[in-house]
Amino acid sequence: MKTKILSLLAVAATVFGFTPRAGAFAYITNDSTGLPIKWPAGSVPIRIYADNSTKLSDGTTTRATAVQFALQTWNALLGDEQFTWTINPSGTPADNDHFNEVGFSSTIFGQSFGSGVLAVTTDWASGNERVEADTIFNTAYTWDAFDGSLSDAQNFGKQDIRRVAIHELGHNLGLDHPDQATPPQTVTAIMNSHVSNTNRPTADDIAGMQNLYGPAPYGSVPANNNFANAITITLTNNAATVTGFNCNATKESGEPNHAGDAGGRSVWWKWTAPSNGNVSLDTNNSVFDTLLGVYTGSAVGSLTTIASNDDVNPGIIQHSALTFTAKGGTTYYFAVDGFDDTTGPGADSGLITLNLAFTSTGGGTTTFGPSDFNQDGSADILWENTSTGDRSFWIMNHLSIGSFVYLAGIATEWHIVGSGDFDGDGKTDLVWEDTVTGDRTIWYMNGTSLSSFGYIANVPTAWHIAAVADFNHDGHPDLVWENSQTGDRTFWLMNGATIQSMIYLAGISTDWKIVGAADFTGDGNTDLVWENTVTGDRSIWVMNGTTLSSFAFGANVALPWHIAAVADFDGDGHPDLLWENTTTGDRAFWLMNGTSMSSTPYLANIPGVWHIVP
Amino acid sequence: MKHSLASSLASLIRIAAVIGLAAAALTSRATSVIPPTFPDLVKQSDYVIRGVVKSVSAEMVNDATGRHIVTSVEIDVRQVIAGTPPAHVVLTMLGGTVGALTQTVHGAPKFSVGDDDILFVAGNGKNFSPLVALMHGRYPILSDSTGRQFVARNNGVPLYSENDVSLPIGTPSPVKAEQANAQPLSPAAFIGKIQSAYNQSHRPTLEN
Repeated sequence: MKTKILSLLAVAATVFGFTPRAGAFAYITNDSTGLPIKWPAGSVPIRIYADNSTKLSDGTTTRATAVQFALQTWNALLGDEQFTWTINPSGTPADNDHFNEVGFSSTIFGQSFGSGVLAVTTDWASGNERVEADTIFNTAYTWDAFDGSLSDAQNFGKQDIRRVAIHELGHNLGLDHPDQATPPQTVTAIMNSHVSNTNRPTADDIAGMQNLYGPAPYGSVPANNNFANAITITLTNNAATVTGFNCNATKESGEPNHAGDAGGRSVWWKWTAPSNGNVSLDTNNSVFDTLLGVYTGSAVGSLTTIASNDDVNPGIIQHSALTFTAKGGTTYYFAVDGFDDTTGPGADSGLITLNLAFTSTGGGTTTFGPSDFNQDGSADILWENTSTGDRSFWIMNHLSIGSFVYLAGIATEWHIVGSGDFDGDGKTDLVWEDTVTGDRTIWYMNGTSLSSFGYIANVPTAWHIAAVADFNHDGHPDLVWENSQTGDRTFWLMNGATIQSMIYLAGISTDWKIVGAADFTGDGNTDLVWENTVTGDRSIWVMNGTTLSSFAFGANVALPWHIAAVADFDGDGHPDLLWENTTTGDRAFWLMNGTSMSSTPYLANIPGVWHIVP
Repeated sequence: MKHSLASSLASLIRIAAVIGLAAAALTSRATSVIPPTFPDLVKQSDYVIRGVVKSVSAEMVNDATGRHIVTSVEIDVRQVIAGTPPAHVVLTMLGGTVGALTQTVHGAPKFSVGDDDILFVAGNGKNFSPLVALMHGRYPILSDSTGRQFVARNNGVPLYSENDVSLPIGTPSPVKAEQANAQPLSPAAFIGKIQSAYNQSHRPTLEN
């Protein structure tokens, strides 16, 4: 089998040559798990056996301080690991004595070096954890300390302790030779198997090492250490890969065990499902034995577990992988922790790679109306000034105002009539309607900033876009049109900005207006919210795709109040209603539990010419 | 003594070649290992064989210098290329895996059953690694997409010239750089070079 693999490798090399990759560094791996072998977070005590009195040719360095220099060089680059050391003027490294030693000897534990061997590092590992490492310099060579080129005349016949020690201690920490990796890498690195004029760790060496032990400075805590600081994941083409570290992360009070293991170094991400669908989540390409948990809820002490996994194949493939069914509009929290084998050093740590793939099953879309533009898990509110044409976001933290973001000043004949992800980049776009010319366009957004424009169509102004949502479950937002003269309503089933087909819905009195769309019943279909502009009645049409299924939610609210927006404002997975009093300027939520109102928190009083747009 | 222009030029070329080799040796020493020249690789070997790995086993060994894992690699010798190997070749080397414990010797080749290699063996049982200059003493035999066998370096990169053995393991072959259509050495060609070098290094002199 090995021969076959090598043959394939060689064939690939023959055909394509060698392609340096961004991360050319190589790890020493556990043959069973495939994971890098590394020290647990903390300190690595080193015993230096070397003369500390005889100066080398630079006049200040001794053999011992040259080794110490190498230890300090790595220390300055590591996030959750540090060498400590003692200097002993005499002594020789011994094998598997539970001490990490660096020394000079004429043999490797009593055996000959053989020809041409300058120095050797041997290390011991149990599973993925390094438990001992020793480095022996061959006393058959003349050792000195110099930074210059190897070809400098004054360096002829001498070996540089510092650069060799940096290389060997790189092995101690877990890096292997990139030029001997599979496939071999072509990169400038002190970890290459040959010594060169490179005498310090290069960018490639540092990247590889920091993947194992986190970025410097030592002790730095990741930004997403706490649940409250979970980093938002944004999809591109229904997938996302994010990276981070759990080095120096901690477990919070009340935090659950993830996948049934105590862990102890957890970090958090969050993601809001754009519609109902299936999610696969894994930690492939992380450098340690991970734990993975998926939760809903708003506080770390009261989370609901949706799914969790420790190992893909227990003890063998130690990455984590899981699947779950997502409900559109629900914010899911992902915890990644390190496995704690309870032998003492705590949870594993290092680079995390978190991969998410989403397959929409349609429905549940909550991107109509004020939605989550900045993708922080909270639906935002978009305002329009009917006098000046200014548009501005309220970036919400659920029911609280977080910040304000100005969008643009656009002529008042233009109105925003809905929003949805039309280009499939995972970001909410805006649909505009020119009430004078009948043009309809899309602003493709990058969060709260305009990215580019798209044109939909010119449609007579008697028609208005009343709602934007995915009704036919194809993952693309569709348009619901309303004729203000005839009362006809019809769907445009869309593929991005392109119309695919039209489906007639109904002819309903013009007293009634569609004011929003969302999945109120939780059946995966997008429902329509109606408002009678004469009587003040409100109703929900429970839909089955593009067909009326039943009626729900009868309420009569005095007419100065209008439903201005529909979205899941409180993040409970149920769409809510945002009301606007056109007389007083008051705004208030109706927090819904399905088709029933559960509470009515007040938002703000904004009088005058500002209005919330759907 | 007469010196022709041609012989002077040849001498200059030889001197230049020697200087070139010396410069290469100065600028490309391995951290763990100094890559040997091809003649040295052959000369420093007790014997050179082509063989297939029959078995790999590891055991824990205790001695005065501590506790070690020692791996034994049993070789089915397919061809004796140079020197006189024992009837039963078992290479012993420091490092390996016993149960959950693994001892790694960085830079030392790892063997798997079925590996087909040309091996330059020296100090088997006495050196911590029985191969000349660690990874520089092992040359896997691989096959390309047509089934043609070729010789590779320990990292799987094709060997285009016997002189490339003195290059750091990750250095591209100058032969390949100069001749895009250059072919890797076949096992037969490399073995021929080895035997020629061995005969050179063991040629009787007048003093003998």
